[in-house]
Amino acid sequence: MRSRMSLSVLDRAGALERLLRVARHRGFILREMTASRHESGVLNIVVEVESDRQPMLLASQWSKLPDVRALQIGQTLI
Amino acid sequence: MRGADLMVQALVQEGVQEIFGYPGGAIMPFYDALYGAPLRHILCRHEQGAALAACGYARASGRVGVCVATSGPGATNIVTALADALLDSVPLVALVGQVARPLIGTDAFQEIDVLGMTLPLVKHSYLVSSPDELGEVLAEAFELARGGRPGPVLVDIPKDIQLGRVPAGYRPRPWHAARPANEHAIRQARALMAEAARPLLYIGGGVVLAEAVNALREFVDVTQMPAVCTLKGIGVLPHHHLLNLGMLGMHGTQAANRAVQQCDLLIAVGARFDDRATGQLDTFAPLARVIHLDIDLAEIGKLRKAEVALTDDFNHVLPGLSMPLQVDPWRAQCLADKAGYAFRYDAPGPAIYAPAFLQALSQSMPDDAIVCCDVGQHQMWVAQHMGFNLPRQHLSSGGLGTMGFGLPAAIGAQIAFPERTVINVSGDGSFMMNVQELATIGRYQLPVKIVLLDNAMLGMVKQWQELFFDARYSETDLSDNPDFTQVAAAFGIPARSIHTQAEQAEALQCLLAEPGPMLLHIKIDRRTNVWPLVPPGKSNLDMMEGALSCEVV
Repeated sequence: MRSRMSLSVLDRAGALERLLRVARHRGFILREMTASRHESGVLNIVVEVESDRQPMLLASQWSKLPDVRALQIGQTLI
Repeated sequence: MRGADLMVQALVQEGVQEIFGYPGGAIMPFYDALYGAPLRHILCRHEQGAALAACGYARASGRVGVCVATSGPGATNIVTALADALLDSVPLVALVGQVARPLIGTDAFQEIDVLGMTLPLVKHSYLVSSPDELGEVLAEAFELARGGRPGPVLVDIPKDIQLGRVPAGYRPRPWHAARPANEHAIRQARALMAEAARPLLYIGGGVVLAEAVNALREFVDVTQMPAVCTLKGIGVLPHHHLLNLGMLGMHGTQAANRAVQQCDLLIAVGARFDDRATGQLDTFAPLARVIHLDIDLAEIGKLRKAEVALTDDFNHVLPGLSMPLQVDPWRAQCLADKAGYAFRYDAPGPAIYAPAFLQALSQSMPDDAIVCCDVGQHQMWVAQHMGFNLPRQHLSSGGLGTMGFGLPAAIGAQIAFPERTVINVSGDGSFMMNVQELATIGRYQLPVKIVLLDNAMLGMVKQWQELFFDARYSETDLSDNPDFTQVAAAFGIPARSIHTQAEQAEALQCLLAEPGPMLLHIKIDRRTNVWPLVPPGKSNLDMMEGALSCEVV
């Protein structure tokens, strides 16, 4: 199934790599990603991921990352 | 003040007293600042040894362990210990020197992308990019290492920042009080407990990390509920506690695994449904509803759906769940299994039977002795046959299964507790993986007692080859091991070797009476296996058993 999530992430060294690494390791394929940086040093990211696993499993792992300040699970697409 | 001086100041203000490390080019400014500082540095003989010693220190004491390494190979050598700490939730801060900022990305001497290399191995990591942020990064690193679910945090610090001026003054992060427990979830959990006829407690290492051992013991006393534990949960309930059914899982007790398979309510406390505990997951506790207590929200529902989940401080949750339960028939059934399937130690003949030896060691050692084991057959024998009555008394690499863990971990534990007896139980395979740390024991005259169970094999791999690979013993023979007593002697550590049961009692007495370090080498029969065993991919009820037999080697 495909799911969309929105994240606010502190733009620090390795922040994006951590997100992508966790997604890969936990069994999610990245289908789409947009990121924009605010002057406050926060990255606003929207991702679409695909996996047999429930999106909550990835969301809960991402939420543990100290760089992640907010996360919302959007609609499940398929 | 120099960045290196701030690093030392940060350690002192965080309450760190001992650190473990190995110097090198990019971390030299820190070592210069350390000279004469009120910190004790333990110089190990390999960065992996230093990092695992810090890990052992943290596991034994509950305090943050600190290790230090230089850039490049210094950093690559600590990665196994970082992973070990991550998988067992050990609070660790690794300070690593990096080449100066202008050289980063140029393939400079001893330059490696430490941040990138360690991303999967740490709770978090930093590359300090400006002098202004050094203090904040160090404070956040300590807060993260010890807060929530503990874990390793790495700080990669370029040499020019260590040498350059940084803002003076270090401010540790304040401690955050735990939230009150979720009353709604507690009411739901109590309702499930009241309905259950066969409730079972599943105790994991998280209880120790949460400093909730007393709360859990009181919970058991009130509910009178039988309990099983994971490898990391050993010692949470005293070994001889009536309701302690022992370790569950692949090498768990029959009583523990039978109880799990029959229970109708499983209360998991600080446990994560690890595959070594559950066996084939879809057959695990098939009749049970689950109440899952874990501080890490990501563990809830990861492998097993929970009817009720509580992620609050166990010290608040467990008292809220405590109530007497009317489960006498179930308790009686569990205790009958515990008695009926108790381990036996009556192997015939004069040879040393490893489980019986470890049981005797357990009965001879002081009540508060700390036992650090390595990984393999001896690790499981320690878990099965040695009795532990205290948390943080049994140090074992559970999640990562790091061979070579035991000796440096014992060094760390002994540094943390100089007055307690610290015993490293090792196997001949594991021991050789960090044997150089005998020099650290010799240098600091640490009175670590080394018990080396030597079957001249990689025993656990050999056991699996025997059982699951048609006895094709591929590359598991270690019969060309060195003379371990001579190895110890070369490091100035007294040693003796025994082969028969007749020598056992006196040798144990001698070992434990020795004021300094000592190695006791025990030759055991390579045919002795670990039983019971749940084969891979099987249910925990499919436990294989083997014969109690061994011969003098």
